Parts: sequence; structure tokens; C-alpha cells
Amino acid sequence: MTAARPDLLVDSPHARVATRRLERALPYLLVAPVMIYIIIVLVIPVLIEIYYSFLTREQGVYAYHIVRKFTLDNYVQVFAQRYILESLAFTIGISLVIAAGTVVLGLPVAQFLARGTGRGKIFVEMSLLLPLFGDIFTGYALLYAFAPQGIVNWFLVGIGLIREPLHLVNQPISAVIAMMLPSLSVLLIRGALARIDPVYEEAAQMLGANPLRAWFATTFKLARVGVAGAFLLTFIGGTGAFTIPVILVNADNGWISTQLRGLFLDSNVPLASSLSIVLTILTAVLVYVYIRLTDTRADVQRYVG
Amino acid sequence: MPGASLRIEHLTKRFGAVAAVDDVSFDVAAGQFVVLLGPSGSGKTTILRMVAGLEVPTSGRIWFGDRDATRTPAHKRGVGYVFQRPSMFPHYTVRENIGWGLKLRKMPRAEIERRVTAMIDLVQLHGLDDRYATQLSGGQAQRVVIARALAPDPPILLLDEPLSALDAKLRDELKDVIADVQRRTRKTMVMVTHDQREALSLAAKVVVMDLGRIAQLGSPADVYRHPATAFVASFVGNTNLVHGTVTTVLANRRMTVRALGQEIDVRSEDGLTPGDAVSLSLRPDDLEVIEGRDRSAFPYVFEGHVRNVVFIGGILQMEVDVAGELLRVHAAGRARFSLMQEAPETVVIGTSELVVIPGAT
Amino acid sequence: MWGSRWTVLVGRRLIQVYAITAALILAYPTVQLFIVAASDDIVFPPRYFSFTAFNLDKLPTLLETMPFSIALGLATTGVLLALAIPTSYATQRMQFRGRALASAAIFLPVIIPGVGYMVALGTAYILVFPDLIGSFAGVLLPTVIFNLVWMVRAVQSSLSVTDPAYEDAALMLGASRIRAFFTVTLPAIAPGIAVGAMITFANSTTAFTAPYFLGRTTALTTTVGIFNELSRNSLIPRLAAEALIVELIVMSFVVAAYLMARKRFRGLII
Repeated sequence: MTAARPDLLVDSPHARVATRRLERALPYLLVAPVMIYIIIVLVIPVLIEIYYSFLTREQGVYAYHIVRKFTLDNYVQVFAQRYILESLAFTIGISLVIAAGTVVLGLPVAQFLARGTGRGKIFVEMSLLLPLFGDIFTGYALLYAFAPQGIVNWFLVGIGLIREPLHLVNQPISAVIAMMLPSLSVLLIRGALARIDPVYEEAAQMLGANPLRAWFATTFKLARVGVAGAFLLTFIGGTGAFTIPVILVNADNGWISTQLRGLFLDSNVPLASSLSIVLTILTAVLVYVYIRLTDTRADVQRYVG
Repeated sequence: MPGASLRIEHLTKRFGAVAAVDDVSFDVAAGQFVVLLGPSGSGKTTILRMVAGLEVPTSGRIWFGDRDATRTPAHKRGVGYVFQRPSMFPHYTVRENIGWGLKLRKMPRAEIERRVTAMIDLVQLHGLDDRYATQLSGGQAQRVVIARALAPDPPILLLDEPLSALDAKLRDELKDVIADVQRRTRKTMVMVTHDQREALSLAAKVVVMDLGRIAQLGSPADVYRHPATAFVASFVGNTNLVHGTVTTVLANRRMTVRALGQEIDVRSEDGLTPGDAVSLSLRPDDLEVIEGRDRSAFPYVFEGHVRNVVFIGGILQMEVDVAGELLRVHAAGRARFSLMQEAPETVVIGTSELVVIPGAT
Repeated sequence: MWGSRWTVLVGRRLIQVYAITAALILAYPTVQLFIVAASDDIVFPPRYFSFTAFNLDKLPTLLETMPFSIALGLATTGVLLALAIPTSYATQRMQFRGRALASAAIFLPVIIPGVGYMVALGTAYILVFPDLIGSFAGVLLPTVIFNLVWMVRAVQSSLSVTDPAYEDAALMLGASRIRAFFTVTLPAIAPGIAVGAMITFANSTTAFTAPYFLGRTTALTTTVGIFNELSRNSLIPRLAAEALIVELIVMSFVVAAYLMARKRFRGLII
């Protein structure tokens, strides 16, 4: 006969107030594998990186060797070196543009998915899967599409807009176009819009607002936070963009992640480490802002419960 | 603005092959309070939304006064609408909500303030000017919505089950507010509800809907006392529906019906001939227990066996078996018995209200 | 302008047309790859169609890198299943003091930019385990990190829509916790796990960043292999065929996951 299970009889079954040692340790045992993995594969390398960010390298006879002397020089370099600053400014600027573009382009699609009628909805949803999970293939396809002999130039020359084919590939513009394609933005905004009861739009219409105005004054305004969150999240993603710029532009493009890789290939580990840390801190701050923005319960309480 | 009249002409709305609203026509006089009453799926809300312009009719016409409004988009119809779900704008205060339609029309600020205050007065919502929706009770929020809908002074106010989302106590309060508003503003109001007590207490005219069609149209008293169909009889108030067959049709607009083991003498309905099936509607409230009193006081008297007794304070619910049919009787709670054991085996019940409805139950 | 009912309907129709056009543009890349592959030329419009490009021995990059990709996909999925299921169960259903910390830790890979992490890991490899560079394990380790959040989200979602009462009922009937989990909970969350596994497989099979950085020439996925060829030989049609094949294989998993998740886990994928 099994022993009594007093823990389960206390309050609700969901209160796992364990009384046995094994039961008490169980959650930790379950979480241990992933935590150990993260520590070994993620945390420790990052700690090593932090360590190296405070060192410098010196030109030796054959190669660089690391001087183990604490210095903040690398961090200074991150903000002093012209090419790094230019790259940072470029990345931030272009990411703002891309985020704005993808939000504006994605807004009507998000509205369609949030409210529209059934027909076509599945097709639209499925079409979002490719840029989300197969962005690399979108990149490859755009290489062919943007080629001088490709469809885009064929179309532009065909309608008489230009006479000579444009060289879009190897220009940042090709990566910008690829990243502006609405995908993640649509999902995030759709969620925000769908949460708003359409009754407010109808009420606004009955009070005299035309459908567009009614939508802006109610649903859009109430979903503002979600839209801002979508902007912020795509911006964050843009700052860390790597694969699409590498594929569509070239291995020496203006994005900061490529510069970082360049430093690493150059074996300039200290500088690469410090730049990497700076970028991580930047991303962490932005993510924190995002969390605070989309989780401002105090403000939200005022409006939608 | 005084209320405008409303006319619905052959309004139909189809969703695919299903007709949610099937050739419905009725009139609402200026300043009248009409209630569309029916169970869910009867088409009443669809009709209201078509009047508002939120749904497009498949066919039919809608007239506001002498203006054909059928093709007018919702935001240009100029009617007020109160939704069933909470619709007070969450991101505006009470005052901002009520003045919203006025601000849209670019009314001068002073005028807006004046009107908003008047509306707050009308729905008795003082002291809550700067609150948001989450800080109000359901009933208060609905009052804001009513005030908001009335602020632009529309000729017609439409209400879609405004009380359904509220709990019982708030419901009664708000019902009084609505009645009060109608009395004071004299606006044409059309309200949709599935609650027949709301309908009977508020309406000047009731339109009973069943499966997309009008089952009966009339005053509350008409609909209650003279239901036209078995559906109306059982939906509006409680009733016992009993089978009967016409036996003879007499000359002086009377006929006899065989039901409940008797030949019952009733007023005749047009088009009925001997052998036709009819239903008799006997309301439990109209059936009384006759004890020792003169039977002749009642035109219709039945004897039956008591099957069940439920005592609910002021009412004694009895189930009496009369010739095989189980009739519910609401006897006064002051009857001599209150428990099944104390009840006599047989009772005599009588009534003066008995309605004959053509057709089987 | 807003005076007639016609204009209102047009507005709604416009949004629908816009959305469908956007969807067509987003879906176009597949068509583009097909056109190049099937016409064996990069010129648009295609002059003729031939399917000779779709011959496996004419696709060397694919042959070289596909086994590695699939192995990486399977291994990543396997490791993540082992790591994510117990963790999700613990963070979702149990109360314990490190719960917030564990949830936050899983979130870490999102904050650290991919390339930054590659620099850190690469440095760590060089210092401690230089053999890992260019090896299967060396690429597997970070790919697991990159996909951790997907798998955990999938399992957590399916746990949250499964009533813990079932497991409790099994416990009350005398089953041990392990037995209750395997016989009651696990079958119930299997669909969510399947969705997570399919997404993880699709992502890791086509992983780019980790093999590109740490794979040298020996540990490459199809995507990196194709990219290397593109950099070397510029635009040749057979690369489109290779990309298309990989895309179709991988996207079929994603679409399958999407269709499965549509009903029960709205918002997990799309």
C-alpha cells in the first residue's frame, strides 16, 4: 500500500508544497540540465569575452599576442574609432528606417488578419511563414530578382522608368528592401489589434465618424502600445542583423555585426569583445524598454482592464 | 430634436442560404418606444443593426421619417446606438465619452460642456466626470453610453440588449433610467431584448420575433393576453399549452372545443372548422384553486389530481393532472397547504382567461 | 467621399487586396527560385523551361552539405527536447525559488546579439577546445542555444492549455509522478512538442550564423554551402535549384507545424 500523500491534500492540488526531500528538489533537478547547458555554452564564453575586453594585444614577431593588463582602452576605441562609429550610426539609422517601413507596410496586413473575412486569410498567414523562417531563401531569391537580368530590372526598364538596369545587389538598398518586407511586424501588430473589441469602432461610427476615422480613433489608438512594441522589436532585430546584409550586400557592408566579424577575423579579440559587450548592453537596454513598454500595467489599468 | 418615425419594409437578411431576417415589416411612430422581443437567433439584433447601418440588408427598405436611409452608411445615419457589450471608450473619461460625438461635429467647446452636463443630468450620473471605464460599474458605464448616444440629439435611439450584460440589481436600475429617459426626451426608441419582463414593462409596442419572422405585433397587453401563436404564448410569460379539437362551430361567433376531457365553449376564430386542431393557452397565474367557493364564478372549471407542490414564499406552484395533461398552477401562497403531503388529492381549478390558438402545439 | 455605401465596401476591399498583394510578394521568392532553376538561366523572363537542373548529381553543394544539415537538425531537435521538456514542466507547473531566474536564463540568448555570441564562443573554442572549430559538435552547441527559446515556448504553450487536473487525478489514483507524467501529461502535450520539434528542425537544418562563423570548411549546412558558392561563382542557376530544394523541404515542416498549431496554439507560430 502506498504511503499517504499529505502534500496533495493541502489546499488545491496545484499548491506543490512538497514535504519530501526528493519532491522538494525535483524542480531544481528538472531545470538543472538546461541551466548547466546555458552556463557552459553561453555564460562562460561571454564571461571570457568580458575578460578579454579589458585586455589589449601587442604586435609580436609573428603574430599578435595578448597583454594581460587591465585596460579600458578597448571600450574607448569602440567610441573613438571612426569606422566603428560610422558603422554604429549607419546600423542604428538604417534600422530605424527599416522598422518604420515594416510597421507601416505591415499595418494593413495586420488589420486584415485581425478583422478580415475568412477568404485569403490562410493564404496571407502562410505567406508570412517564409520571411519568418526562411529569410535566407528570400535573400537568395532576391539576389536573382535584383540581378541586372532579373525580374525587377526587367519590370522597371519595361515600364520605362529607367533605361539601364540598376545594380541593386551589393548596395545596402537591397538588404533594406529585404528586411522591410512585413513579417514579424504583422504578427506583433495583429495581436495588438485583435485584442481590441471591434465594438468601439462601431460605436464611433454610430457617433458620426467615418470608418477610417473610427478605426484610428479607437482600435489604432488603443493598440498604440502594441504597434510601438512592434516597432521597437523590429528595430532591435535590425541592429543585430547579419545574414541578410551579408547575403545581399557583401562581406564588407556597413552593418555593425559585419564589422564585428571583421574584427574577429582579424584576430583583434580584445576590440571585438568590447564591441560585442557594448552591443549586448545596448540590446539589453532596448529589450528592457520593450518589456516595460508592453507591460505597463499601471497605465494599462486606466484603459483596458 | 423630436423623435422621427421609423418604417421597416420587407427587410430581409440572408447569410448564405439561411435567412436570419425574413421579410419583416413594421412601423414605429415618432416618439414611440418599441421593443423587439425574441429568443437568440430570432433575428432581432440583426434587424437593429440593419436599422443602424452596421449590417447591409439583402433586400428591403428602411425609412427615417420620409427619408430612405437604406443606402446611407452607418456613420451618416445620425441615430444613437447602445451596444450590448461594454462600448464606453476605455481611453476617454466619462465627460470625454459623452462629448465625443459633439467634438466630432466641431461644436464650440462651451456648447459641448453644456450638453454633456445636461446628459449627465438626464441619466443621473453625477460626480463621476473624470472617471474611466474600468473605474465604473457596468450600469454606470451603460448610462455613459446612453448619454453619449443621446448627446448629438438623434431622432432615433437604438438599444441592443442594453441590460443583458448586467447583474440583476443593476439591471433594474438601468431599466428605470431608460424608461425615465424616454419619458423626458420623447425620442423614438427601439430596444432589442430576450427578456419578456423588460419588454412588457418598457414597451408601448412589442414585436415578437421567431426565427427571422414576426410572430406577433401589438401592445404588451395584447401580446400577453391574446397571444397569436403557441410560440408567443409560451415565450411571453409562462403558460400551459393544451391540445384541443374543434367540435362544433356555432352561429353567434362561438364554438366548442374538446380539450382536457371537456367541451369548452369559447369565442370562435376565423377560418376554423370542426375537426381542426387548436391549442389552448392557460397561464398559471390565471388559474385559481377553487375551494368551496361558488364554481359559477369561473367560466372554465377543471378537476384534477395534484401531482406536485412547490412552495416559493408568495407563490404556491402546483402541478395538476387534468385529464392526462399536466397543468402548472400558481396558487396564492396563503393557501391552506404548502407541502405535498398536506395537499388534497384532487383540486378544482378555475380561470376566466383562456386563449385559443389555431394549430397544434 | 464617404457618402455612399459603395465607398465603405471599397475601403474594406482595399485592405483585402493590399494584404493579398503583400502576401503574393512575400511568397514570390519561392517562385523566383523555381523560375531560375527550371529555366537554367538567370534571365527574366525565362526563355525556356527544362527540369534538367533538378538532377541530384548536378547539385554538388547539396550532396556535400545535406547530410550534415540533416544531422545537425536532428541532433539539435533531440538535445532541445531533452532540455526543454523538463525545464518547461518545472517553470510552468511548479513553484520553486529559482523559477524566475530559470525563465530569465532561457531568455538570455535573445538579448545577446548573434554575432557577439559567436565572437565569445569562437574565442572560447580557440582557447579551450580548438578541435571544436570546424566540427559537428562545435556547430551543434550554439545552434541549440539559438533555438532554445522556440522549443521552450512550444512546450510551455501546450502545458498551459492542458489542465493539470488530469495529472493530479492520476496521482490521486496512486500513480507515481513520473508515471503520471508519461502516461497522462506527455501524450496531452505531444502536439505542442511536435510543433516545437518541427520548427526547431527547420531552423537548425538551415542554420547560417553558427556554421558560417565556426564551421570552417568542414561543418557547413546547406545554406552556408550555397552562400559560399554564391560568393565564389556569383549567380549560377544551379544554386537556385539547390536553394529551392532545401527551402521546400524545410518549409514543408514549417507549414505542417503551422497547420497543427493553428487550432490549438494560436499565436505560437503565427
